Amino acid sequence: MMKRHEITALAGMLVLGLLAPVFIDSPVWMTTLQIFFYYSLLTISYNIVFGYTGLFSFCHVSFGAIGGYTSAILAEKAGLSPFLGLLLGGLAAGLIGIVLGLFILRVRGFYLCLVTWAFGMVVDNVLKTEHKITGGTGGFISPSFFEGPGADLYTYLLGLGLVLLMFAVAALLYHSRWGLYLFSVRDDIDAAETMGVVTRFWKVFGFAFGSAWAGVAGAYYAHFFGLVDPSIAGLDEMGKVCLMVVIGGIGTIYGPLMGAFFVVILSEMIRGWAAEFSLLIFALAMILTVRFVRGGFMEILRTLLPGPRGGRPA
Amino acid sequence: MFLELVIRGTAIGLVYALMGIGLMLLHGVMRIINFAHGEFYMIGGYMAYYSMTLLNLPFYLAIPAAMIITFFLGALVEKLLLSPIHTKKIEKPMDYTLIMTFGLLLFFRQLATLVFGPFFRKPPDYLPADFHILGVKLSGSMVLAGLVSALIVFALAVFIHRTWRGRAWRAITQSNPGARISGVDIGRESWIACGTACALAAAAGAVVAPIFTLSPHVGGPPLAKSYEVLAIGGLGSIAGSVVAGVILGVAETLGAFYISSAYRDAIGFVLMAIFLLFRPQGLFGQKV
Repeated sequence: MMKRHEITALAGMLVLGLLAPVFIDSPVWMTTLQIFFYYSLLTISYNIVFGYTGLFSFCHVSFGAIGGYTSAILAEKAGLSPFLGLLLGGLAAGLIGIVLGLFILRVRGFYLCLVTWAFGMVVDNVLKTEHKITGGTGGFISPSFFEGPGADLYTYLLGLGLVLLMFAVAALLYHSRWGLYLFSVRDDIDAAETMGVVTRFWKVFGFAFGSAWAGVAGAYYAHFFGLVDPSIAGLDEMGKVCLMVVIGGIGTIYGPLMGAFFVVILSEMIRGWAAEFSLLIFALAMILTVRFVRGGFMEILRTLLPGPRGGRPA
Repeated sequence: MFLELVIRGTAIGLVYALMGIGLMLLHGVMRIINFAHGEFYMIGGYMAYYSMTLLNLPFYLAIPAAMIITFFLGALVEKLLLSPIHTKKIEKPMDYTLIMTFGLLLFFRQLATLVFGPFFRKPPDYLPADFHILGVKLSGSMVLAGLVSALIVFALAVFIHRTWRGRAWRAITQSNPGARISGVDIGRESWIACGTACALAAAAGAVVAPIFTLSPHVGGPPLAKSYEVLAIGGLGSIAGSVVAGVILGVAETLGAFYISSAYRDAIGFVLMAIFLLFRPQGLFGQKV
């Protein structure tokens, strides 16, 4: 069951998200908010893989790209509806996640990092090379969710709904028995095995579940942006997602959302006068966070606010 | 043609081995994985470039200069950022150092774009002459890259097996508490080893700078290559790394020519994944 403050937060976000289009009339900020939705889908799902299950995956954005390309290509070539694409993109990413997850069961620690990184680079390479199918480095133009007047608003609402759903799923998982299994895999895999947890299953589950949601995020991105290109599977993107989670707080419920909000909104705000500095500033923020406050925003909040908040410490 | 590709691959493979050995040293002494290794390669290349163009140093002074500067940069990074994390008793120090070096990767890349500019740069050829080996024509820079890499690897092997400091590093690799009991100052050896590893990467970057040209994003592929060398050769064996580097270099050049040049980088990744999954100790490493 979700805690009360989480239900409050969910309702608050719903109200804020519904009110935002009324007060914001600049299309730039509406697009920025949709980019924020894309990143928060990625960060919350990455939090399930890395924060909950403790698997340091370096190919999370590649699953996003897999979902995005699957959905875009199906919609363009086979004429499927983009809404079905959200589902199919997620399924494709999840299936590949299961296969890769079965392989990476064998390796632990930093070897896991290397195998997933290798996978991500191969995906990147394939996307760039097979230009007959994927459009190469130029990208692949995909149809949008809605046509006609108000399309932007509907796409925005769809993104809002997806993020709230993702948040609710992550929060439910956090407090459930399944979540406990994932935490036990993260914290002490040998002890978990001794207690009768089928760690092999939960490792694959955590990995594939997070990856499937990344696929949904990619499909959303493909159809709201109208273009998927290989840069969304690059190492820089992975760095961005990783730093959002780290700045927000690894393994917490609100952390990834806050990190994504902070990074996306701030980089839009400083775009005018410091566009070329933005990634530099965020990399510096990441280094300082790891060096001084490893819990990120959530740790700062937890020390400032009285009483237990955010549940179990990460 | 086949012979030419093999010789070319061998020269490049020795450079890969140089990168991989630096990473291996870091893993052995500090038990960390450095994702910013490729950025030190990039910085080494730029330092060699600037010491040749601004200071008018000849190449045999420019390469050591790049190594020395990067040595101190690496030592500084270790002192300020890495050792506070990985020596303190925190949960999962490995994960946090990984994130830290990943942050360093992004940081150095952006900083280089600001400081050095986003353009491609190319230092003057080190040896503006062609060589003929076994009837194959090779550029002087290529021959020099292979020879210098082989020389540095050999010197490092002698250093590790013959001096007291090398003995201390081997002791730390085998057992950290054991080395501490025997009187090795782990803190000091850590920063020296980290600096040395970065200097090795810088040497690799400096010797191949005229062949591959320089840009702030040039550090990505060599980083991948050095991990591939580690995965194929196994941890803890310099000879294994050299063999792995040469195998990788030759496999890549042959694959790029006979299969598809677009999948050049994927070949190494597939090799690495296969080795990690089915023979995690590598070709020559001990069972972990």
